[in-house]
Amino acid sequence: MTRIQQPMSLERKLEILSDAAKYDVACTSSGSERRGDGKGIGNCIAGGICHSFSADGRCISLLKILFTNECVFDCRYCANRCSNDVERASFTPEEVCRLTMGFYRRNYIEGLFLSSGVLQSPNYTMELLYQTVYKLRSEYHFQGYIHLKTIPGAAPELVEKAGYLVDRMSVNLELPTAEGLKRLAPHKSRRTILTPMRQIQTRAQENKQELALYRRAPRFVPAGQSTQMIVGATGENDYQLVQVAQSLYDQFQLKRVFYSAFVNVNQDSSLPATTDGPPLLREHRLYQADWLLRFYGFRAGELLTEKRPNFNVLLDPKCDWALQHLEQFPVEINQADYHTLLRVPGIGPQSAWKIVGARKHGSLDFEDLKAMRVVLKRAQYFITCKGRMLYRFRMDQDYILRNMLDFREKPVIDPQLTYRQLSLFDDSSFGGTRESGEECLRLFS
Amino acid sequence: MDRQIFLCEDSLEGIFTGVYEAWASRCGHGNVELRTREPENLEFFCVYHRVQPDGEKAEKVLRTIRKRLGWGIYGCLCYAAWAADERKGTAIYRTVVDFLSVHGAMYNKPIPSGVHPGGTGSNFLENQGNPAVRLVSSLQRQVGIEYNHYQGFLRFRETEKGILFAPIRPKANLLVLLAEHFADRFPRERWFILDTGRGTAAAHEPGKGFVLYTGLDITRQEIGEIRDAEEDFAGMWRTFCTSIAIESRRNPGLQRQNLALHFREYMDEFHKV
Repeated sequence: MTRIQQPMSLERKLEILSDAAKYDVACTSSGSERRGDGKGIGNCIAGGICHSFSADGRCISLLKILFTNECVFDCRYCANRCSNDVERASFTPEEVCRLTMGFYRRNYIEGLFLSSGVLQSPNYTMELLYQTVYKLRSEYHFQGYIHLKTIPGAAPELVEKAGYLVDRMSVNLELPTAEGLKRLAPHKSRRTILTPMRQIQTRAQENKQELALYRRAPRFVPAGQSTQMIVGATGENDYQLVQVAQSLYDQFQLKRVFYSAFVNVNQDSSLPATTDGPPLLREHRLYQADWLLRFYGFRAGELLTEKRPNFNVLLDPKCDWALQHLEQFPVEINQADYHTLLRVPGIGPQSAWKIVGARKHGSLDFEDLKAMRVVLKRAQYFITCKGRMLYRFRMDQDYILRNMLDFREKPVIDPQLTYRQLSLFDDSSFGGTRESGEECLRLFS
Repeated sequence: MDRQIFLCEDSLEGIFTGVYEAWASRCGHGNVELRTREPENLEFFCVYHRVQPDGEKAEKVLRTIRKRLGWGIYGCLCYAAWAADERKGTAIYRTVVDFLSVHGAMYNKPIPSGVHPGGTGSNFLENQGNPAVRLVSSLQRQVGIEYNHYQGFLRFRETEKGILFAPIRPKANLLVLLAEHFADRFPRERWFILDTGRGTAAAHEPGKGFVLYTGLDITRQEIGEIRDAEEDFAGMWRTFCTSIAIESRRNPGLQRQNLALHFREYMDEFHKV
């Protein structure tokens, strides 16, 4: 193969190689806390910093580029596959370093996100990436954040060497099922993806022991690893995706799983057309569920089941769960423990902590909750304060659902609704049929 | 009894001197109000006291807070004192009174000697039932969020002499926080951060820490003239910001929600040359 190439300006290269990297979702700079040592340049903030937001509303935190968009792989969904006729470009390690330092000094970015197409072979590419990162850390004394992609199939020694220089590493899982991967990414396999993931996990665990022994031991991937799955390219349902995410968190101790709504960039006929735009709502629901898994103590099996494999379009997963489990509500704000409070729609980790802290000083009322930024619009149906609900609600699925979908501050209250004397001989379920809540939900979704 | 209004300077020193004076005046905690702005109209049944900022008195109050309540709450109160809100003075005073009183006994966590500062005490204002505490904690939150934004949205330009220059116009007084952040991030650089709204600035020399200046008057034209001297990094940054966006996900509303327009005044990517 001969390559005809004209000399290209750095700006043009940046344009091509950032454009090629834009479908990688991860742009977080969190997870690493490192103060500057006073000699080099840069530090890391545990919470991460967003430096700008692009026209699609996504955060720009790192200089997200490919080292090269030349690639020997032929993945169906990828814009850089070898069968595509696109303009190709490659950086040199020196150029990447200059760009990173120039941008970092102007406070444009928090660090570097370096990925790459596969040039010649996975090992060759990984070696190039390693050289770049090494140069940046040792010659330019850069102490900011670096996120490095592992090339599937690269030798473990290279992965390990690079892991000591960067903050976060990631291997993209791409598709949740093995057969999907086989069909769409013939050059990648489950093995070449999961092996480096396991390697990084094991090495990071060992590194923890080393750090316990000696505080100044070199750190291996201090911000952990993440991965990414494409949503909507193959026929998986949400249940499968959430299950896969959960097992990645449990078994591989990933810091994050990212979801990327599929965009058919190649107009490939074997892939679904995205004429209505990428499945953004589905992606959004998956992220909501992801948060429930990581911070709210939910399990995938609670949110979805084999029978109900997809998320409700109208309600977020937490409200949906609460409506299915009305028997656990209402919850008394002044008594319920932290984990029970977390399960109430409209109460998140922050407000749950605030509630638990504040009730040491006196009992709380709805006014106090409002001031603590509890979202009463959703929470009001599921809580009591000092034994009372905010209004007289019926604990009834359709009633709550109807009010939740109606975006008014104050819910519609049935004037007929009053407290009723129980009678031995009355059976309220006797008589006319009524649509059950579940049927109603199904009608909506 | 008449309301006692203490007019203090809008600075950390000013406000905490105000707290000291108000406490020492023995007028009754409920009657005391702290203001940081000159009143537009004098009110009836009020006694006005003018407070001169006094480093020693302010330090006495701050030391007591650090010692008895811990570094976490000390940080919260400082953040609240930097906020751009007229009600902050009174709220800080009432919060300090509440925390140091019998009611606030559960906050009192004396720091054992030899413990590194920053690691002890609650950093969370628990008593959210008290309106003053609630206001302080919401102000602290506001300032924290704005600080976090400015850590990212502040932009440096390199002048011909190799000095990095950044103009900002935040709502809260973030200069000290930002200067500390960038002193840690760029210890070997000469940089200058200018708060154009307040006319204050922080200047940093390599290996020397930063110095604060007040009462500067630099016009917009003068700022506009300071351009990047070296390679066109600003141009490349604009290219990058354009090419990184996915066209089929275009969402200017979300962009505006995440990056409000008032932050964009000095951000290179939103200005065509």
